[in-house]
Amino acid sequence: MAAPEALCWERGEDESVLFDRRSGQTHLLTAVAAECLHQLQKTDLDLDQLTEVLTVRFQAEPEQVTRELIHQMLMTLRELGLITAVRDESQQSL
Amino acid sequence: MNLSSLSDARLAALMSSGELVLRLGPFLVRLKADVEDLAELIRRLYGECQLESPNGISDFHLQLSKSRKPRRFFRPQARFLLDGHSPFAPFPVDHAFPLFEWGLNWCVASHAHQFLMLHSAVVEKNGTALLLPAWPGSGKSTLCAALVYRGWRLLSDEFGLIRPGTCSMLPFPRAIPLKNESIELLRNFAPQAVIGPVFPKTRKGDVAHLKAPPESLQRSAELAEPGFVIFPRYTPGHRAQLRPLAKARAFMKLAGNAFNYELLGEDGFSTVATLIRACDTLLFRYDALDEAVQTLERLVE
Repeated sequence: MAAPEALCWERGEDESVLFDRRSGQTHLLTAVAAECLHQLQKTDLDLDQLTEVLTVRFQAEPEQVTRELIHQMLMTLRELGLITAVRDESQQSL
Repeated sequence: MNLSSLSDARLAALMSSGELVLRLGPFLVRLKADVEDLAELIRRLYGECQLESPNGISDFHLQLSKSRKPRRFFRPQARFLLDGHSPFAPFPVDHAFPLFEWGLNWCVASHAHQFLMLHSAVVEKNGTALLLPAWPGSGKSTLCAALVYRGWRLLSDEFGLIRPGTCSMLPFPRAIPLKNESIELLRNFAPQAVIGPVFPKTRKGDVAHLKAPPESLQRSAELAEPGFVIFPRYTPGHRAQLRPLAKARAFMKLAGNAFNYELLGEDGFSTVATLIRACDTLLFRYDALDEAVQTLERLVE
């Protein structure tokens, strides 16, 4: 997980812009992706816990914030170098 | 002293000796040239520009010289040199003025990293600057030209310059290159405007340069506070229409078409962030110039 001091945020209503001081890259993040990074910076969560936290946070129906969707988003965040690993208790660590 | 106060002979002498130093916005540009007709056109389009001492330090040392190669006898060419080096291929000698304009743009875009350089027109009225960032072909120059001949001050047609850590726009007023159909369009839209000769068949088609209003040149040291970032798109048949654009999206579009956003790293990020926070961010589609100008006018009334 990128340390909080490695990231600069510019928050928007539905989307946020993130600057990664380590890579020099700028990313456009959805509100869910931005919240996901914040949650992971606060504490270590597995995929189920994260899905639950985001569902509550966005007052979403379970089918709107699915485990698969969050998993896919984490994969993208990992590709961008914003997180380092995704722990899925039901499968092997990625 | 400004350029128009020089006699023809004095201007020619300064230019041939490399002692002509023009203040163009935040830059001092030293020009040496041995190309006929260039001095007359520079005087016509930049007459109100301030002259600076040739004994000081200049930002750019430019030279436009006639090629000495054998082809000069059947198709004479002009070379553009920066600090004695030629960064690109020569142009036909009768295209020396566009070569000067594009060459100077190249110098600024490649070297002036003390500024965040947005690829954007910038105009100002009633104390509010409006940024018009756009990719080539969006109609940015035509719209910018129309605005400055309806009372807006021209800061730049091409470069939105901001010193990192600040939020004020620096003027860099230059002649506006009109292309193809836009040349006639602007002649009709602003008959009082000074437009230089048409240079046919350049790499961008036919090009003619519209002089910046004298007041814009005279106020080229006066910064402006931005109020709007507007992404224009010329859309034939479309009524002039402004639509809000989410700030995060506007940030990415603005940073994405800057000349040196990535190079400036975190300074680039924080400067764009400050700018976006200070401005309303909008998309703008338009066709008719009069209607487009009236629509933008209402923003600063």
